[in-house]
Amino acid sequence: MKPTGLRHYAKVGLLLLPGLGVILGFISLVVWFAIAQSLGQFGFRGEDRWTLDFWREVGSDETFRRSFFYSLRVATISAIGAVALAFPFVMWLRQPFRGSQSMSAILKVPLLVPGLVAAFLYVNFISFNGFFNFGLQRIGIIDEPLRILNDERGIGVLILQVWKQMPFALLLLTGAVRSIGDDVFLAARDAGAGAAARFVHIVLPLTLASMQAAMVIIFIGAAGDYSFQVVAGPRAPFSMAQYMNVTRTTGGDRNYAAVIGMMLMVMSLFGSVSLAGLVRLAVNRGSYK
Amino acid sequence: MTAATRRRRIARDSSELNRRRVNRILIGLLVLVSLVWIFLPIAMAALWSLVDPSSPWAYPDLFPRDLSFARWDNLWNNTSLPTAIGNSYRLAPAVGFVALALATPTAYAFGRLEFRGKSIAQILSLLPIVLPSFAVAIFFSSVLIRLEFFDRYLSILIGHVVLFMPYAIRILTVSYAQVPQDLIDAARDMNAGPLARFRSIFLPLTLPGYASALIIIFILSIEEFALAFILGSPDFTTIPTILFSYLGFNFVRSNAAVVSLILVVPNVVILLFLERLLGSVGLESGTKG
Amino acid sequence: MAAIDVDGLSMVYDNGFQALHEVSVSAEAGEFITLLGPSGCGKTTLLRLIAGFLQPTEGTIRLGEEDITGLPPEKRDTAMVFQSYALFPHMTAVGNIQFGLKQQRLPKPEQLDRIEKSLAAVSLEDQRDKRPVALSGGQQQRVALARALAMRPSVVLFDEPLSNLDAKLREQVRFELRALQREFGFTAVYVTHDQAEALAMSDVVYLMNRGRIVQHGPPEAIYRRPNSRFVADFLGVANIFEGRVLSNSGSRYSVSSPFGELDVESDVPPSAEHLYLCWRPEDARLTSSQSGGQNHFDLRVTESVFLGNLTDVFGHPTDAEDTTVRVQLLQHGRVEPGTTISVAIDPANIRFLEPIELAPVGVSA
Ligand SMILES: Nc1ncnc2c1ncn2[C@@H]1O[C@H](COP(=O)(O)OP(=O)(O)O)[C@@H](O)[C@H]1O
Ligand SMILES: [Mg+2]
Repeated sequence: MKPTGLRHYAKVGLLLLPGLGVILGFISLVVWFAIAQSLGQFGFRGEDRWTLDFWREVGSDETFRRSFFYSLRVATISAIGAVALAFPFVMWLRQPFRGSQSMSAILKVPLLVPGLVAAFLYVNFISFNGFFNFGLQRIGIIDEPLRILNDERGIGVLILQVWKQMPFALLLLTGAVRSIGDDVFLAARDAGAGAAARFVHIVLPLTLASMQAAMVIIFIGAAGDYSFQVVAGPRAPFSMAQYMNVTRTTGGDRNYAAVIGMMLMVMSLFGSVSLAGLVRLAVNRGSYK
Repeated sequence: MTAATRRRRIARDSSELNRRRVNRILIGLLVLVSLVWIFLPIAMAALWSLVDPSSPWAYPDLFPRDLSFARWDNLWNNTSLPTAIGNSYRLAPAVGFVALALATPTAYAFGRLEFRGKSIAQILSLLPIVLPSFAVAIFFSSVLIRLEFFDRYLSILIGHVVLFMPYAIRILTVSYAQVPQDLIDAARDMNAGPLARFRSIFLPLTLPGYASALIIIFILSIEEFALAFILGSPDFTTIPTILFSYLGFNFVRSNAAVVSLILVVPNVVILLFLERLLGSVGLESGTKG
Repeated sequence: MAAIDVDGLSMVYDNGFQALHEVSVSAEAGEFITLLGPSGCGKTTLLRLIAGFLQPTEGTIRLGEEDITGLPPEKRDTAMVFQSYALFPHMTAVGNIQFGLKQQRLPKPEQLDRIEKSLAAVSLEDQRDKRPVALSGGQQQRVALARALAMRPSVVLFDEPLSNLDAKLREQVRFELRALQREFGFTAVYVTHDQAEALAMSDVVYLMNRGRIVQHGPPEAIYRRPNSRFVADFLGVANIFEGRVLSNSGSRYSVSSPFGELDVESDVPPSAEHLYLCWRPEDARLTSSQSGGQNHFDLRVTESVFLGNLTDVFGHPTDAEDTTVRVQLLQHGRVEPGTTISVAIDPANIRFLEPIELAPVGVSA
């Protein structure tokens, strides 16, 4: 029974005010500011006017185009990569065996390493006189250390994202797979389904929601990444967040930076939702209903 | 035992053995991989933080020639590291308590009241998580400049509270929802008023949720980089912004190693309680709703 | 030739616990056999071994001519109905039924035909497009059944399929299950811990205890002729007592007991001189106390419960105060506690059970 009436809703409203209210107030303020700034307001140069000029600029900005697709690519690959890497571990650890607890603990360690520390560990490992080069030199595979930090294709950033986010996907998917229930797996075997069929027709559809949640969050995190990119990413192209910051500080153009920021938000929203939609489509096409 | 059953037994034993052997090989592989993937980098960081500045560590030395705490000394005495640590640890608990206080009424409404639009409200409360935090930070800083609000500490505090409140709301909602209605009815039956009910039932039963939320927000705030960097730099430093300054373009490896280790301290403490923490939060199973 | 033949099956779990000890079970084609026993006696383990979810430590399982011991479940001609139903939550009733048919890659028309037949068999045609959450417990149970039937297995394995239904529904489904079995002609291996269910449904009951089959046979036979205290007690109610065989002539034995000297008529000779015996409460006849005939004794009533169709009377023999006896009198009114009644037991209704294990004084090797 849902209570109705003014009193009830007044009470709910008051209760939501300090929490949800503050969040919505903050977000609306920020988003409104973003929109206004991208339309020529709050440029802090004393010549504010409403204009679409800054949005037009985007169309002809090659740097922007490259950053946009670079961030889109990094976000997509990170989201899919982390989930794809997590699944084998999830299935392996579905049923407990000797040592499975320690294995799942080890796998979750990166969850507890702050992003910047992860970036440092990676750089330290991969840099000109890092352990990676050291090891290869010792074994005798190479004579001179390789310069693989800040590689052009953003492999370093991808490694960092997957390293950091795989345990998160693992956590969500483990919960979803555990809640499927052993009998359901047995029933599928009994009906003649082999390991692959069970994965496609039982596991994937029943973990879809968790998979989408993991992908959305990883996608958004990777699309808006600044620190991994600056530390381990290529010198060019910029990531969206990096380009926004460069435009704002070095270029001093807050209005155009706002346009980039808006585009980043749009990409996060539509990109992650489309990715989730595509995953749903793929899973539903592949599996029985 | 007939010959057939004996054969059967041997067959079973060997398939059983095979399964165990495969598991053992997989465990071995994973331990090896995570050694390279996780523990070696951390060990390298620890070693680098102890390299004595007088004799650099370079190929082909397997270990640094001299170990000392000189780097730690130097950072402690000659940089703003102590201030940054102070800032971070002044910020994080305050963020935690303010976020919990603000989240409580909302979580109560989500967990225990029925009202129209509840699921939409719950989704909206996750907004800060799904917006790219770097862009939000930049726009928020514009808002603050516009409002001529220049208190760095308070700015970051507000930003962190909004950014991390979704976690508090989510965790506390579960805690409040799990309090059995029977208990509350029983307390009413024994003439307990709202205050008495809160003190004697809600408080003790939701306390684990509060503890988990506080710990998680504490960690997130200590690690947070984007807001602290955009709103604080250059004059208000936190541990992550200091670490960032040693990474990137001017990579100071030993200093970065020291700060990394400092940054990771609270997480290591929590690592010991990880499984229990996640269990009590219900994160693994609570993500589908 | 038996449809299913389990021979000398032992099962030791990974943790070293032995759940089954050389269990042998067989069923003719079209037969309905029941594995009955208390919780934890190994029924589910045995069923899962037959299904192929577990591999036995020892022994063989045959289906018809074929030794299927090493086959994985997906290659066995069995289908299981789970206690939890184990329906696929993301599929409709039809989807659940069709899953196995798709795995077998049956031609589409054949699939549709079988789906229709199975749905009709369990009268669920109008629930076909609902998912499990939208179905009641009884309906879910039927979908699980239809899913198994659609596979047209030679053997259907049931693991306490009715235990989640309420009492009324349970009785109804019992009859339907038997009717379906006759219609589809499969062999049924049915697990339950409910003795009434076992007696009502089975051609043959296998009674299990602690990982062993302790007795098997048609329901009447094991109800009437239990071979141990465990069986006597688990199936129905029994008055169990100790006795000593004094003499015999042919199949007629004279036994000393707390009720005095009893005559026992038995085709099966006693397993020892000193042993347990039993009789069923409903086998007691009320007599007049003067008759003093064969197997006759007086009972001082301590408690009596009127149950409508019968009256349950508890008491003890007048000359054995520490023995409690239960008798069930048909079509009889209340009996007042404190009164004394006289009862008699037909010698043919008293059973020899297992010997009394004496404290090991001199152990025989
Ligand atoms: N996977 C397992 N590992 C170890 N022991 C088990 C396992 N499964 C069941 N058992 C034990 O085997 C015995 C029989 O179990 P089960 O076959 O489920 O009994 P039932 O179905 O008759 O209640 C029980 O004592 C149970 O604790
Ligand atoms: Mg069982």
